Order: sequence, then C-alpha cells, then structure tokens
Amino acid sequence: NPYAGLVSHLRASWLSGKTRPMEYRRAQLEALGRFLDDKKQEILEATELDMGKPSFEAFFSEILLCKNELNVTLNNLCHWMKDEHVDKNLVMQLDSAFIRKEPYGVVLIIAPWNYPIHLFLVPLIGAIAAGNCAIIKPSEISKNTERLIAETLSCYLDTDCFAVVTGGVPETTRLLENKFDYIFFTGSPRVGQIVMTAAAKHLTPVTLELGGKNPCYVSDTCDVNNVARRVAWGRFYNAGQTCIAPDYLLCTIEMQEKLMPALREAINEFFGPNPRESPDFGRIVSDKQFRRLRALLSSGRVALGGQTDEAERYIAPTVLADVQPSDPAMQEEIFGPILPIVVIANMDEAIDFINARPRPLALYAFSCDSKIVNQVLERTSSGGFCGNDTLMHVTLTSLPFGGIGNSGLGKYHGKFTFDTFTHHRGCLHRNMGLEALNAPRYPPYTQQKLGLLTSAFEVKRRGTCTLL
Amino acid sequence: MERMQQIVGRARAAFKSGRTRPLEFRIQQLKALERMVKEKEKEILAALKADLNKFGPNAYSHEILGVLGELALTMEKLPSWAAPQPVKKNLLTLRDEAYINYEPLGVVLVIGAWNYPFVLVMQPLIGAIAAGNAVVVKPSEVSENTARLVAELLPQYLDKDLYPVVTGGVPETTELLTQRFDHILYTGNTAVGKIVMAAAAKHLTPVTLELGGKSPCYIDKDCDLAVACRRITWGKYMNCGQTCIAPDYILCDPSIQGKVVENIKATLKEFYGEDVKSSPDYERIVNQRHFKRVKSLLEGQKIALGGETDEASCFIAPTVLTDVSPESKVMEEEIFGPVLPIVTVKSVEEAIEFINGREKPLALYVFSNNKELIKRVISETSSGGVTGNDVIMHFFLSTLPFGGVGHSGMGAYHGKHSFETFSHRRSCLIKDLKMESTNKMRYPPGSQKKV
Repeated sequence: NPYAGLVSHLRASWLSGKTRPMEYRRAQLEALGRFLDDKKQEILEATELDMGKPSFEAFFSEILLCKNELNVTLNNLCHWMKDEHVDKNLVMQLDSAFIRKEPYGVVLIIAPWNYPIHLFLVPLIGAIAAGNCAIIKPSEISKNTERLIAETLSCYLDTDCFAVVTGGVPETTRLLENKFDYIFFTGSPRVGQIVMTAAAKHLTPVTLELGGKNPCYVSDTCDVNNVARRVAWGRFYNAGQTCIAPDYLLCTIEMQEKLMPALREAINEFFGPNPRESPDFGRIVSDKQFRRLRALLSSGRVALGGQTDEAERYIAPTVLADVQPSDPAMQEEIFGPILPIVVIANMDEAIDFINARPRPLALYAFSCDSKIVNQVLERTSSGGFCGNDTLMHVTLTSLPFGGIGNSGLGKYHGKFTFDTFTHHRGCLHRNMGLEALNAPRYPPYTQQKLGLLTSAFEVKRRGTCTLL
Repeated sequence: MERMQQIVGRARAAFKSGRTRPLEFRIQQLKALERMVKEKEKEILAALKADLNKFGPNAYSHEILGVLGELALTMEKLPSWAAPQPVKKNLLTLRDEAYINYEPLGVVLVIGAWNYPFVLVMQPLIGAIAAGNAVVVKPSEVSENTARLVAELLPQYLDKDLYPVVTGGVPETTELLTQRFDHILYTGNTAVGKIVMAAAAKHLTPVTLELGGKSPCYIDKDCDLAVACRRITWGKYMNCGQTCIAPDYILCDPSIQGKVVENIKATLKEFYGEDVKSSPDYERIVNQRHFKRVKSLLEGQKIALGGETDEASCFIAPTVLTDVSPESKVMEEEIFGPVLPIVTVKSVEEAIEFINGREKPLALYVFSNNKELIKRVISETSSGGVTGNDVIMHFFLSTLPFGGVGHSGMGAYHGKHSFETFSHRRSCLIKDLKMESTNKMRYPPGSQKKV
C-alpha cells in the first residue's frame, strides 16, 4: 500500500489535535488566500495551457469565486464552529442540549480537470474550516495545473496535515484502499460508483458531485435575444466543459427557428466572426475528449458552427438543430461546445421528456411567464434549478450545490461545505441531581409511572383542544 | 427477483403519480398511522412480548410513546419544515428569487432491526412519509411477531402501493437491495452496514446507516455513585442489554470499582426484586444464537454480580464483570446483552486514550460532578452522540440529530433531522428575463474593465 505511510502521517497529525483550534484553521485558510493571490498568474497560465481557458473565465471561476468562498468562511468560521443549542423538552429543561461540530479526521478530496483549482479548493476550504486534515488528488488530465498544485500548495499549507497526491487511475485506486473519514469526489457517475464502493469497505461517508444531461426548456413566450445570450454564455463557457452547462435545449419548432439567428448573433457578439481567433473561447482538454465530441456532430444537422481543428483541439461554438433522442449527442453528457436542440410540441412534452431521463445536476427553464417557469420547477426533479438564466445559481454561496440520483449525493458551497465535513454530534449534559424526576422511568414498571412518563414526554398537537 | 421488482415498481409508479406531494396527503397518512398505533396498541404490545418478553408499560414507554410523540411533532411542524426557505442574496441576485425547495427523494427503503422492532421501523417511516416519499419497509425477521404484525397492519391503514412491507430474511433482503432506491436507511450492525452501502453504491443511492459499537461509560471518582449507578443500571439492562446505545462497558478508577458493583447490585434489587428471573420487567435474549454468543463472553471472566443463565428461556441475569482485560473477547465486539465489563483506568487521560484507541462508538457516557471534566471528555473524543451524567437520554430529544460516526454509522434522524434526511434540498434561482444590461459584464469579449 504505497500511500499507507502518508495517510498514517496525516492521521497522527490529526490525532495530535493541531487542526482543532480556530486560530490554526484561520491561519491555513488565510494561507490559501495568499496562494490565490501569489499564484494568480501561474493559475491563469496553467489553465490556459491545459484547456485554453480564457483568462477572463479563469479569473472568475478559479480566483474570484474561490476568494468569495474563503471570505464567507473566514467571516463566519467562529459562528459555524460554535455549539448549536437546541430546543429542549419538558424533562430536560435544566439540562444542556447542543449539537457539537466535530471534524471527521482525515479526508480525501478528488478533483476533476475542468475547473481544476476551484473544484479542489472550495471543498478544501470547508474541510479545513471544519478542522480536518486532507489529502488532495487533483486530476492528471489538467497536467499543468496538477503540477502547479503539487509544487506550490505545500509552500502555503501545513504539510503535516495537508498533502497532494498526483497520478492517474492506478494511483487513485491504490489511494482509495486506505481508510479515510470522508471522501469528497467530483467527476463522472461511473467513477462515482467506484469511489462509493471503495468507501463502503471502510464505512466512509461520501459526497459525490457528478453530472448528467442538464435540460434547458425554452417556452414560446420569451425574449429570444436575452435567452440566446444567456444560453450561449452558459453552454460555451470553458468550451462547454462545465458540469452545470445547459446540455441540450427543448423547444417548439417555431422557437427553434426564432432562436437560431439570435444564437448566431450572441456567438458573434461574444467571440467575433471567427471564434478560433477569440481569446475568450477555450479549447478541448485532450485528444480523447476532442475525438469523442467530434463524433457527436453527426447528430441532427449543424445549424451553426461545426468547424473543428484537431491540432488545436478546437471545436467551434456549435448548434445542432432537429436532434433526435436516439442521436449520439443525446446518449451522454456532452461536456463540449455543442448545443443540440430537440424539438417538442409543448411544455408537457418537454416535462415528460425530462422526467423519462436520469435526474440532472441542473435544470433550466426560460419563459416570460413565471407560471411556466414554476410549472417546470414543480413537475421535475434536479440537483438545482435556475429560471431564466444558466449557471448563476451556483454563484450564490447561500444555496446548496449538489446533485440527486445519478447526478450525485451531498451538497456544498458556503456553510454547506463546512457542514459536509462536520460530524454533528448530539450532546445532552444532564444534572446529576434531581434524581427523583427520573423515578417514573425505572422498574418496577407500573401504569402510574407510565402515566407520569406520558405527560412528561408527550408532544401535544396544537389546536387539539376544543372549547366547549 | 420479480416480486421485489414489482413491489418497488408499484411504489415508484405510485410516487410518480404525484399524490404524495400535497402536504394534506402526507398528514392524512400520518394521522392514519397514529390511529393504527392507538387502535392496535394491544396487538403491538402482544407482538413485543412474544418477540422480546417485553412487558406492557415498559414496551409502551419504549416503543409506543416515542412513536406517538414523533407523529404529533411531525404533523404539527410539517408545514414549516416543508416550506421553501429563502436564502441570503448577493448584489447580482438582489432582484431575483433565491430559495431552497424541499422535495421528496422518491422511493426510500427502511430496514429495521429486531431489538426495538416497532419504533425502529416506525420512526424512519414517519420521516420518510412526511418528506413525501414512497417507502418500502423491511422489518427484521428476527423479531418475527412484530414483522408479521407490521406487514398486516400497514396496508390496513396506509396507501397500499406507496408503503409496502416486505418480510423475509437474508435472501429476501439481498434481493431487495438489488433494486434502485433513492435513499436507504438501515439500522443494524457494522458488517451488514458495509453490504448495504456497497449495494447502494451500484445505484449511487445515499444511505443513512445506524450501526453500533461499544459505547463507553466513564465514571469519575468525583461523582454521586449511587445516582450514577442507578442511571447506568437502567440503561444497561433495559431490553436485556439489547440496546444500540446501552453503556457497553465501564471505565473507572480501581478504587471505586467495588463501590460501583455494590451500587449496581443495590439498584438491581430495587428494579427487579430478589429474583430477577421472576420479575415481569426483565426481558430475555432474543434467540438461542445470541444467547450462546453473549454467554460465551463470560468465559474466563471475574463475575462480580449475576452470571446465571438458562438456555431454555434465553435468560441471562444482569451481570457485572470486574478487572476485565482490554484484550478479552468481551471487549472485542459490541456486547448487546446484560453483561457489563468494568475496565480500570488510573486517570481520565487514560480513559480518553483508551476510548480513542478504538472505533468511534454510537454513544459515549461520562459521569462526574466536575463540569469541566465532562466538557474535556466530550472535546477530546468522538462518538455519534453523548449524554453526560446519564445514559440513553440524548435519544429522546428529537431536536438532537441521532446517528453514528465512523464504524457506528453515517447520517442522522429523529424529528426535523428525519425530514431533512429524506428530502432533497433543491436550490432555486429565478431570474427576470429582462434586465439584460446587468448581465453584460459577464459576457465575452472579456476585458480588464469587466473584470
């Protein structure tokens, strides 16, 4: 077991208790902030090398959003760590009852390649805030960022408590043989199953942030230009390599026709007449992903874009029209700059279409009529939902971010990350005196004692009294 | 295989019909459950007597009172628990609607245990119904009378398709676990907990595992021993020690070991009289297999109290072992029987080290007049839950989450925590299709100014 030594070293640090004091956690979190400030340029460069990430995007998702999470955490850490006192019943009025927030111990964070800093850092913020030690396993696919993390993070964080492990599938498999006290995984459902199965051997609780096909319903009553812009922005951000990107569009044939020129206009506005030359449009992360995506272009008909360049791993912002449910583009999560449009007759058909498929991580509905937006919300299920926009619901740290069913289990962001990495321990601290009050619970059991217990413990429904 | 598929399939179709969504429906089902518990009280108590030799008022207070309380609380609070929760917005979303919507998960599986066979099926069921799910109930086959009764009664009071009961043993449960559920709540032991989680992993199903372990009980020298021992005796020997949060073993200074035994002895007489075997308030071990298992733990031990057994009636007297070695068999696995080992430690530091050297337990108990010492033990250890200066009681406060950590389990329930366990918290952000100008700064082409 090549990682046994590392894990036991971290476990020893954990048992020493050094991650428990608030000052320690604060210091580590502030060091993470300095990491983001000092290494900003390197982060922008590494992500550009890895997937042509535009620096505007990299700054927003890898630096700004991470700093927001840091600040929310630092601002509230003291409050979040406190014992949470709970309402007591009659019998316990003189006792102290509270929920103690406890770290789990040594946690494992496995991050993917698409937002390679953000998707390890934001979970790590919560793990540190909650008082844990952590092993970080960045993705080997975003290899420049992987190297940056492996080489520089140790200069900022306490290496006794936080370590970076690099490598691919074989290394991750060996790592998962060890016992962790929590595993936080972001990636595909298939690998999510493997992680959870490995976790089951040690009864390790997990959070799995997975994916799926995020539907985007556009009703007939809408501002076509605004819809086109918001959908195009969400779809083509990071060249489509976003777990919450609108994966496919559902609309009527009339709307498809109206949307096309609006989408063309939006793409032109964003990236100019030749997106390949725009510094604001990314590239596909690997040859394997590029080839996978290129094969999807045979679905429906290419209405916009469709150009590709293998050497650059460039795929133009593409819209496919008249896509059939049986087409390749509708069989898997796209994770690329291709937007298929599936034509449906009406909203009911769209909802049935959505509900016949695995529950997605995100769901989008566009309409000027708020009743329609609400109907789609109420009649479907998904990790999260955004009406009349894409992606934005995850930028609000007060909203939990996570999936359901195949798109994941657990949630994080803001306080939810802290809670994810915290064991909520129910504590009751009783009085040693007043023993007489306990008498009804002791044998010998009698109806009389039962009557006393009942009145002490009973919860009465309000409004069950009737005035005679 | 087909039968399980059909049962779960019917529950899923019933869920998809949408009829569990309105709160009125859920409250109606909970009211029916309440009627069931009140109308069939005699039958429930009879089943508990047959399964565990639990007697009337005892069985009532442990298995029925709590259920009625949970039902009343849930019916009262459901509207406030289920209401969409608005969240704090930032500058960009000021004009939008941002909230968390509580939604059912779908079809959940509740697997009960045999030691408190009624309440351990009912309490999760209440939370799962309240959250709007369909629920497949699998009571433990070991407590067969209660299992049979639950299978008979639920369809008489509840929607038959939404809340089916599946009976059977290991083969049936294994088959059931191949089906897809949207959450599984399992109460039982660690070994089977791993099997349940592995099966759940195939479908990426979230789980709540209420397992067990050895719940330590530290008695400080500075403490009212008479009171402490009475409380410990109550919690240890109730249900013949077959309680997941019973104090499993005692840690104390050698100088008070003798007094602890004396106090327990006195309390036992108070509780069960001179002849425990003839007290109607003392239960029996659930079956021969467990009887033999617990009896074998006495081998080679110093029996300070009790030790009498009777295989025919699965009777094991309330027993205390002294000067127990940490390496002995009785200190290896969860005892789950009326045998109380005392392991001596010279200091609270030693006690803490001892506890931390073992798997995290479901419950932890510490008795002391010194508040600071209690706080210290809590802070320097970990466990599912804690009661200071008493045992068991944290289970009865539904505002406290009840669950384990590490080998003692994952997830929690009771009261509102049940509702949240069985709900999906869906983030919702509803924006305006107008006001496009505020979006312009996020669109490409990117420029320093926009940044």
